[in-house]
Amino acid sequence: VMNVATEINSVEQAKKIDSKESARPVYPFAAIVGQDEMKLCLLLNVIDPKIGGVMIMGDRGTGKSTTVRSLVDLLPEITVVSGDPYNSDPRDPECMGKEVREKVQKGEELSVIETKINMVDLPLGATEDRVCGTIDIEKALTEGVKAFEPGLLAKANRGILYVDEVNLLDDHLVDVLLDSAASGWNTVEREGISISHPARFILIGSGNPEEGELRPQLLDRFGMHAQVGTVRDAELRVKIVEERARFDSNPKEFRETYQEEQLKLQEQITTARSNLSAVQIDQDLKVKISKVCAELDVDGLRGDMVINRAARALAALQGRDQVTAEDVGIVIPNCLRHRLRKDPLESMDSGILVTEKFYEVFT
Amino acid sequence: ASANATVESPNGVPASTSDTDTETDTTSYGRQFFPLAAVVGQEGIKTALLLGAVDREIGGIAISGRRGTAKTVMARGLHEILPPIEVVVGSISNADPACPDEWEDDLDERIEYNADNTIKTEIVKSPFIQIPLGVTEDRLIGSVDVEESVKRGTTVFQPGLLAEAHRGVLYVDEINLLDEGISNLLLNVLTDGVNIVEREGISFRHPCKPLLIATYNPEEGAVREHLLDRVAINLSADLPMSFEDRVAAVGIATQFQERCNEVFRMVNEETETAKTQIILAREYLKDVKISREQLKYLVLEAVRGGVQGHRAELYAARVAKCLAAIEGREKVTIDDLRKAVELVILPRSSLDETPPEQQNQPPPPPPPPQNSESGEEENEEEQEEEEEDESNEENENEQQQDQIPEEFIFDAEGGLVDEKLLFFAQQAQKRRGKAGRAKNVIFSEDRGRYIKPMLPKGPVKRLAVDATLRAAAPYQKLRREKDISGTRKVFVEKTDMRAKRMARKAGALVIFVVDASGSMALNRMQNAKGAALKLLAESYTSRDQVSIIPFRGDAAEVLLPPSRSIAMARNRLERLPCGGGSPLAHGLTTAVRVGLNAEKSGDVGRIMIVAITDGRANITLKRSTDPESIAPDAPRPTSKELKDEILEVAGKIYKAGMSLLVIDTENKFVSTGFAKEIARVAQGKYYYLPNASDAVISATTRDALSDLKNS
Repeated sequence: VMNVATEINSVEQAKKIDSKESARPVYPFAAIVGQDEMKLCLLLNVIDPKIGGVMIMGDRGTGKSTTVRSLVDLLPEITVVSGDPYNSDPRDPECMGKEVREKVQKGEELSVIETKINMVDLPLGATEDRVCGTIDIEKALTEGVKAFEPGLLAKANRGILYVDEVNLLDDHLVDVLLDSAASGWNTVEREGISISHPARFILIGSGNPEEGELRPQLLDRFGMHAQVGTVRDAELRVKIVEERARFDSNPKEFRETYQEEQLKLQEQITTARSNLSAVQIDQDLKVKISKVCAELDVDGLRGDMVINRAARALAALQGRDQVTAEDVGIVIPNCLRHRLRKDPLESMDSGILVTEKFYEVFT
Repeated sequence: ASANATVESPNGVPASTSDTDTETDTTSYGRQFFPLAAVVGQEGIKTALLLGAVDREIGGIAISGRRGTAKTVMARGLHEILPPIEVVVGSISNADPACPDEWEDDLDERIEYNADNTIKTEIVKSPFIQIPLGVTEDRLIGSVDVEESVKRGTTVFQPGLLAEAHRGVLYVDEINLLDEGISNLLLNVLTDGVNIVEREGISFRHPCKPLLIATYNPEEGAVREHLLDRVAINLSADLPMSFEDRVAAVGIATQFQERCNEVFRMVNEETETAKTQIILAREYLKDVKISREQLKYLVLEAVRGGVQGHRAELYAARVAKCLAAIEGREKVTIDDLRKAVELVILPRSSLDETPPEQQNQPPPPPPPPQNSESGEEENEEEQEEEEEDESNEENENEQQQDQIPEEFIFDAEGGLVDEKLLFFAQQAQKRRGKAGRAKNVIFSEDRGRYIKPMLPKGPVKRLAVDATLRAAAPYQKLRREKDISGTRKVFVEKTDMRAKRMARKAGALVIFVVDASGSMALNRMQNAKGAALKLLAESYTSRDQVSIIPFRGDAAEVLLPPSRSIAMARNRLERLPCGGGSPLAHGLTTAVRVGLNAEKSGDVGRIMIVAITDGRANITLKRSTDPESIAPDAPRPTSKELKDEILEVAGKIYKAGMSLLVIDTENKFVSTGFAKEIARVAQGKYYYLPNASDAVISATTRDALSDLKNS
């Protein structure tokens, strides 16, 4: 009943990705003008994936997708079991597919490779079976064998799952996403297939608030919430246009001019990642964080936890090993804004509310 | 194959049954769950889960709670403290060696015997099966095993999740989002305790008596009453948390994320104690007695609480016995009884429905008059008192509670708000609690969630591979023999083809047509705006859209096109144009046009037009659409002409399949009654709500909408 065969040639896959990259160069992260809030949130998530993702909301044409996609260059490398469709971690038993787990338990040697973190796009029109994986049609029809064909969630394990226009996503897909994002596991019980595999990913969503509301349950799954707006400064706007034009006319050359900055940023991230576990946060700060959350009547504890994590990641990014109240102050609006109860008739930005409460508690 | 399947539950729960001993060391494989003992607070839920662990036939536990209240964590944490079970080797449904009469079909033929002629059994970890939201019917109840069937040439049964869950825990996360067809199946099986499979040439029955644990977030849509009734204990995780607890909980949760083994070690002792407690309690339970008098007390409580059906007292009796067993007593005490009433009967009492709901929801629709608010507080106080009082007095208090809803209305009569308004609002609120998820679903063959396979009508758009293979499986042997070339392995013929039946949710579109002419226009517009925003704030559960069309001057204007976005609505409604003539006919025609366009786009199920007007009009349709053609000195249209025109449009609304709700807010004694006439012609509803606030209008609309959806 359980013979679920999964084989994807990783070399081929890697080649495919390579060829794709050369086909469509990515705009460099360092070249993105303004939008500091969004950039910071993304960086913090790369440093500590357990923050739980970012939701980016804002006007059309403000570089949401460009920024997220540009993140690819900065992503650190991870060790994965080669040929494994779930990008299993050879060391972490909680991040392994079933076959790898069995191999480890038997004491078999695993061949591992270093690879960049995956960035998986979840298109709006995706079908449920492609997202969670489904029965391998070819095998089923030609050989009569029930094999599992891993879906996007498998591919996104230990990587980034990016959903553009997340508020337009079909309901049943949102349900699936919620389930996996919450538990870190994707359970498939459909079409004769019964399997469960790890699906831990950084969930990044972007959207335009004018297109519709997001379900609060899904909103809560995003660790942070960044707002982007149109840049008002004329000078900056001119710069954006110029840069973009330069990129479009010769992307390769353009990327080279930012090479140095990109490398610097990359290094900063790598150091921050390795230093993260050493960053301390005072009990006093923790208590104050929870106090802000309690007084704002934030549902549940996810908010508290995310603030702690984000503040530590920020300290790590800046090369410190101690979280300060300023760190908390910087990240707190992004961590709580989307968790407040919403009054439809209230037009005030809830970020302001959070900041006000922060100053009240911390001073 | 089946023996394997029982040992390792494929649901991602640690498949490692054998190495539970080593688990306490350093490495364990698979999914790690936050231990129940490490959850801070939530004693009520922990007790309930413990009860379920002691007696899995207690009838299920549902935990509701807002996001991030550890409800899922607790449900999953239960697994670790469940004692292992003994099963018959070879059984697909964890058959209990002690009760052979409930074994699945044909297990008798497959039993293996030990040397001493006893039935071979094995000890396995108690199963913990989760039903994911996207589950298909075949995996839930079991279906044809394609691979085996192809090999053997006969239909072979493949057990589903329900078989695996027998004698274990069946866990449903977000039960309110579970597909209706699936939840009906589930309920049916759970109530009977047997899963009878009659499909695709299979006839099979096996026992299925798991402990059902369900969690849901009421903000995402209510659970159907019918479903909740089958669940014995329904608790809320939304309890206020002390500040110290909060900090402690954040601390431990963060620690778990980083170094889970530390947390496991910390609570190891507690977990072990709980395990022993459960095993002991299971033994005690056999001897616990409940007296006739005590049963009578439970029944009386249920009667006074106005509980529907008899499940409440049945469950309550079980719970009371379990409570006694946990403490190692053979007799049920008063405390057990009261606790049982608290856990089982109180949440079911029809009087108790509103208070918890009001906590969860933003302020109730009617602007609550001051005295009614104090009434509510009293209500809550009384509840608290009730817990402290002796059990006899408790009865009296419950009776008092009975009267509270009446007083509520009674009190308000002298207040500012009209009695009728309050009634409307209350109706709506009551409905809202019960309506559950919008039932409106669009079935199609190409978009949505795969519900079930069906025989294709015309060309197959999306092939349901699983069902096709299942249909073809039994014939494989035969067809292979007929095949001459001998190259193919699987033979699928056209008659085997099954298509996927997909379903997706469709929301309703509410179009507000607002009279923006005259002196009270601003008032009406404000009301419509408020009502629209209120509806939108809840629209994510039902996918409803809202549009606003004010009519004034010479023509109507689509101020807010159909939208689900609060942000968009707020932006568009910043400016509220008012004053001028009253082109009612054009307003209604515009609404019909907007509605028809939205319907074409495919995601709108039903359309409701809410006209806020007094029915007076003074601009003809002709003048609205083509003002050039009317000479400036043309005679003013007669009132009859205007009326005929409007009634014609109203008739069209009905014909287009839209429903009309006319709300007359004019506070005048000289009512023409024409608004009512419009509603009548369009087969719609008419409400006379003078000086209604936006809350009342949105409540009325919501009420009508839920009527529409349920019809």
